[in-house]
Amino acid sequence: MNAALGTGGVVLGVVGSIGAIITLAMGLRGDRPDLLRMSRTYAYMVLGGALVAFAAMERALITRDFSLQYVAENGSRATPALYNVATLWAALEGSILLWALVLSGYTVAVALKFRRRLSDHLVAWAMLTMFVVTLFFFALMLGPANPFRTLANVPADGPGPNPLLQNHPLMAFHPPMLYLGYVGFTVPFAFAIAALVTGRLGEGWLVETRRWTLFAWAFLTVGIILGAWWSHEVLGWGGYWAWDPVENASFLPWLTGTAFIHSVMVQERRGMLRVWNLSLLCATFALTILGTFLTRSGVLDSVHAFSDSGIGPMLLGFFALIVVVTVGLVAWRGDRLRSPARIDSPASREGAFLLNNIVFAAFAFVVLLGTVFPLIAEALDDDRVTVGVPYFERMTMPIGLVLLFLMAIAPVLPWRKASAETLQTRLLWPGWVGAGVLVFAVAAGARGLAPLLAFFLAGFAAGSALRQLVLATRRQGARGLLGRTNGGMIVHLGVIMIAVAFAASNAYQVEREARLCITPEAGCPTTVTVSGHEITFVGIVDNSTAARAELGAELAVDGKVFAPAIQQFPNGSQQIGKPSVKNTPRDSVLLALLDLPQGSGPEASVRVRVIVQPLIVWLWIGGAVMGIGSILAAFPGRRRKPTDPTSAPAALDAPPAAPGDERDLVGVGDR
Amino acid sequence: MSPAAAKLDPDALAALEEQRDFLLCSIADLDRELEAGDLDPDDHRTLRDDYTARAAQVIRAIDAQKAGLAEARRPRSAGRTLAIVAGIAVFALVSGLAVASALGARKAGESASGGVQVQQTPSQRANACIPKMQSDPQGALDCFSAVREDDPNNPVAMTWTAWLLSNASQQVDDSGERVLLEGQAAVLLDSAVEADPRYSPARAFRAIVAYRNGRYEDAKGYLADFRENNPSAEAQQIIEQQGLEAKIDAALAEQAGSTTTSTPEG
Repeated sequence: MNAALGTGGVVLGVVGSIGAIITLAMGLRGDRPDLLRMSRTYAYMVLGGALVAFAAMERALITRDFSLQYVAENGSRATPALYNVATLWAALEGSILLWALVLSGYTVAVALKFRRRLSDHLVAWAMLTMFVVTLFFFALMLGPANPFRTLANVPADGPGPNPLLQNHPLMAFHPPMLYLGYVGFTVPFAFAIAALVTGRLGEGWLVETRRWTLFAWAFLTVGIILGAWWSHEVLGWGGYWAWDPVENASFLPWLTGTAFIHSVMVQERRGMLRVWNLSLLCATFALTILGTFLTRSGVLDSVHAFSDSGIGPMLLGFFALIVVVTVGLVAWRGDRLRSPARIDSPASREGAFLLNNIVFAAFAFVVLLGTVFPLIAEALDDDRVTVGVPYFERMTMPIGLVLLFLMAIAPVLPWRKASAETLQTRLLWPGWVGAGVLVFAVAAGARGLAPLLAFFLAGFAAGSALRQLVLATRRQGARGLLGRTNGGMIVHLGVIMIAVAFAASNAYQVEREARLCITPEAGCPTTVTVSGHEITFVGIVDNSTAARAELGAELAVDGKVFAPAIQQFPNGSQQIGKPSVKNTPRDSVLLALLDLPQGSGPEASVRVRVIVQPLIVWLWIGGAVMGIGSILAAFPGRRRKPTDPTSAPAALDAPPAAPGDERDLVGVGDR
Repeated sequence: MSPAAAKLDPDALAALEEQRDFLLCSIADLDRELEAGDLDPDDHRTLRDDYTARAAQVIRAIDAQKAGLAEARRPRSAGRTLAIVAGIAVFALVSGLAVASALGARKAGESASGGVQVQQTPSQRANACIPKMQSDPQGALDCFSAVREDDPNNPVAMTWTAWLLSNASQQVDDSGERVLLEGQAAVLLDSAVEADPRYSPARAFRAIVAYRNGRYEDAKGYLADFRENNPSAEAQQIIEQQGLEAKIDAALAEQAGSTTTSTPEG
């Protein structure tokens, strides 16, 4: 029943998408508003199909319907409820189903948001583009990624999902967040294609899709941070970012998306960078498909690339189609994308944004090269190579420092041109904050050029962001936290927290491995002290359940007991470490067992790795601040009408600035 | 900036083009209606003139926009283009060199880029050397030596080095060299047991090496010691595979027999 229901849902999605594409194409060709308005009905139909398929798969997982191949290969009777629900996105076919559901949701949301303008050709082309993408993903589910394949011989039980995916609740939330981000970029991409096709390449479509882009970016940001957190909490290696191809696959669209979020302001404000913005947006969407290809095709070996399937060529083909269509359309419309405006001075807001974009593009190139080079080398030479972490660290550290510097400078720069006096006045306090942070860091014992430079630049950038927020809140009270500029400054503060945590945790990490015994003996004490933290072996604890065997050690960190363990899941020979982390604002102490605890009672001993990392908790707090800042940036701030006197109160929900508008409303606008 | 350029607006141009298409379509419709006799010729003329005038106006506006767009084309500067290309080339070169310097052979299970970098303990590194022992004994020996350079008293490295030496001693013809190798193995195993009394393979090999050296009483004592110290399944398997207990008992019985018969003669 689940198979029939699920397949029915997928077929409904395919039929709905095809119907929508044909109807919209006919409506656009014959200029038939009645046909164009039908896109909303089709959107409901596609979402209905996705919901039915999703519900059928969840039902199959919950009822342990092992007649479905997906459930037989990824489910198990012993898997706890939360992980059982999350098993839907623990493997290829289920994750494509989740993708289709999220995409269908976005399609309905766009249809509802633009319900009064569905007959507008711009919106109709955007809807048509979205239905082409939904058709592709539903078609995958009828072909190589069919989640509803059935088995002739039904097993009594299954192996359950990958053990690494069922030992921390974060795994239930990290993939959906990423998908909300990845898939969310379909909306601005669809409008970009619509703008190119209709020739309406002004700033209107950008304004329409601003919030969609921002929310997609925010979801992607939160998804990436949750993934890093999971890595830190689960893998027990003390790190959170390994430059793994799949991590890079999520980071690449984030980089181009971040560049777009900045450069779009230049287009909205001065009508410049039109080709660049379209290219960035299309690149962001194309990179989400490339990322899916890397993740799901099994083309690159990684802990995440859990599948080999025929889906690879289809995803690569779709990626190629996106690139060809986008490049073709941009070339076709090239003449209309010119802007009469020029950057008057490098020391201007638009100059800083342009530099910011170049740096982000360089960053993306570095990550892309390191990620796909092994693939190219293997394809050309059959040479299996790996690009090591040092490449990424060597190349990205200076780029990161330049970005911090730009974060300090750009917010204080006026549009068009900055005088030396203006810069001197506006950079004075941020400079003092940076210097203060540097002095504090040195006094606290921080050493090393790179981390100290990072702390100074972080302080400088924080000063700049805080200056903007203080000016805005002085004028407007709590409303001074809203709007693109002010919300953006809160996002900057989150990024700064992450940069500081990154620099401190990498530069000042202390790691020690020790054998601890209940009864101390030579070479095996009961207590060790690592970076000022006292770790005492308290005893062995067996937390085995029906779902997995788990043997752990109780270790008191400064008196508070933690229990890192080693787990073994049924039907799996691999033992999985389950670290335990004590987090404080000052530092985190990660405990990971190196072997199963030995002996019992007073004879017990354990080998443990202790990693102390300063300030790491600020990585996760910074991620949350970025998310909050994104929400605040999505709400319109206050801005004055150009005709208002400067003393007049700012009006709410005023229309955005026209291109080429030369107002300079420092600190008061949603800019 | 010229006035034409200042008025550049792609949205306005698109709207004008849409208007132009509509007007031209309408003119074509008027002609069709005239041919079909649905429209009076005078009305047709009046309407057509009106539509034509409006279309001309729109087309002029489109031309003005296009002229503005053409004017907005930035004059190509060879120097600027060269500087951009050179900048990109230098950056690509630096990135390429950085990739080349960080390249390594990808082993099974390794990721294509980056990867979780877990610093291994000396014991983990020593354990990673063990699979080499069958195919490349010298490589395994070098591998254990590298571990012992960092951690001279590492029990795993000492234990398996001793086992390699003992195995090598079984294959040399020179009795002096054999005794030397067996002696080195025995010393290493004693040190390994001392370094980590819980590492049961060390106790297992100590008993086996003592047996190989003909020290049967010691071997029996070491075997008993092995059994008393909660041996791991892996170590027990080693003992079972060797059939050590039976071999020691047989050797001791034989030794006892030969002593009994020889003592009276002695």
